[in-house]
Amino acid sequence: MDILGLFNYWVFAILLMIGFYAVLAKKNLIKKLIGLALFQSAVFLLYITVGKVKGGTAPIFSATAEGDVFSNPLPQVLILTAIVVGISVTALGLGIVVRIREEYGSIEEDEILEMDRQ
Amino acid sequence: MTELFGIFLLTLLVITAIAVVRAQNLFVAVMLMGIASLLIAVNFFLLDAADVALTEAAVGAGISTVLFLSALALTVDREKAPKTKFGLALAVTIVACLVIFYATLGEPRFGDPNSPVQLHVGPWYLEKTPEYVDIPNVVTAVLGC
Amino acid sequence: MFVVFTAGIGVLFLLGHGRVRGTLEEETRTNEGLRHYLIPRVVGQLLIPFIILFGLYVQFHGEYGPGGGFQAGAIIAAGLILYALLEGEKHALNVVPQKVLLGMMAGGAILYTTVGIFGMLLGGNFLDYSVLSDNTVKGQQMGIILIEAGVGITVTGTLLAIFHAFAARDN
Repeated sequence: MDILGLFNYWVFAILLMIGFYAVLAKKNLIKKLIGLALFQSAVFLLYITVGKVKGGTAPIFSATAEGDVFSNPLPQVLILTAIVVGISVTALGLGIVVRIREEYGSIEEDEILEMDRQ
Repeated sequence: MTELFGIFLLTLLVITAIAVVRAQNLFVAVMLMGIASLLIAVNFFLLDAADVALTEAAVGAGISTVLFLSALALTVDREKAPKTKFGLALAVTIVACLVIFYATLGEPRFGDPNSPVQLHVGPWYLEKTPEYVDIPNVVTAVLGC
Repeated sequence: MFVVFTAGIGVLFLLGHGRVRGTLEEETRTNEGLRHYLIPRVVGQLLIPFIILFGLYVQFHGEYGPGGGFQAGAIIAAGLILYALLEGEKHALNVVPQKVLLGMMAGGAILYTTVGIFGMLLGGNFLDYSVLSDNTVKGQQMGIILIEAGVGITVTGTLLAIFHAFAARDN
């Protein structure tokens, strides 16, 4: 069994499920946003792990590293854009949470649903 | 040696993530998220992604922590105690985790140069970049055009 | 890059430019920052110029090493947020006013779009840098430098505007 070769994927699965559990089962809205950020980080870890070549270096040409093996630059470009999208979503989500607090007075999900039903 | 260091960092990351979800004081949770972001950034650097590591460190451990803290200052900073201990959500989560474990057994091994990801478009970008755009950093060149 | 711009506009719609302040006592308390604590002030005054310098280094060396627009924008925004935390909100808004922040947000996006349309006017596709100059390779390099500068300016302005929208809010 090739455990060392698969360890990164298992860590990705565990982190994914931890973030997913936080989004589903926690009632506090800020805890849900933190779970979403963990979920996104796990997906980034998966993409960068897939793009690595054994014995390679970072994909930057320099005068000394001529015949080296380079890691794949394509997943890194995707993840760069994805990180920026992630913080934009987090910032917007936090703005909405602050406004909900001002209007409803609490940020627990069940209390807000109670107030909505009345 | 580097691989052992990577495995050690990933184990710390899993422990920090479990602590983030179980913390009831939200200030503690935000600080632990900062630590988790830093651990992931170091791990990206070990996986040969220099640009992504710099971005994740600057954004995750800097901007994201500050935004969460300023939102916490405007709302409560403590979470109410959970009512149920073991519920449907935990069972569904554990089953999904085991399914993903089973699915990863068919993945290409870590660092394999013959996997499908490395063969189609990646080498084309690495060869053509010095010819079209004479810029050493391939990631910036691909992002720009 | 336009994602960050949209998020900044969204947060400014939700939280506004800051509400009317309370009494004079509240105003002095929240505008002091961390003035009374000596160690953070001294360390901050030593560190903030170096942070901004490092951010500019990362921006302009984006082609030779790790770096580029996003990273530089985040680092410079972090330095200016540190200044706002130490000196108080009012002084930070005197140094970089709200109008300058809005100008930076829009200016970077306009620079990006102008480079794209310029390429279109000279006969290529949208965002085609090859036609910007007579040598194809030089055209690509010039295009990438301008685009990264635009991205850096937009990201700095947006992150700083989001922080001030959160911090200027009265509870």
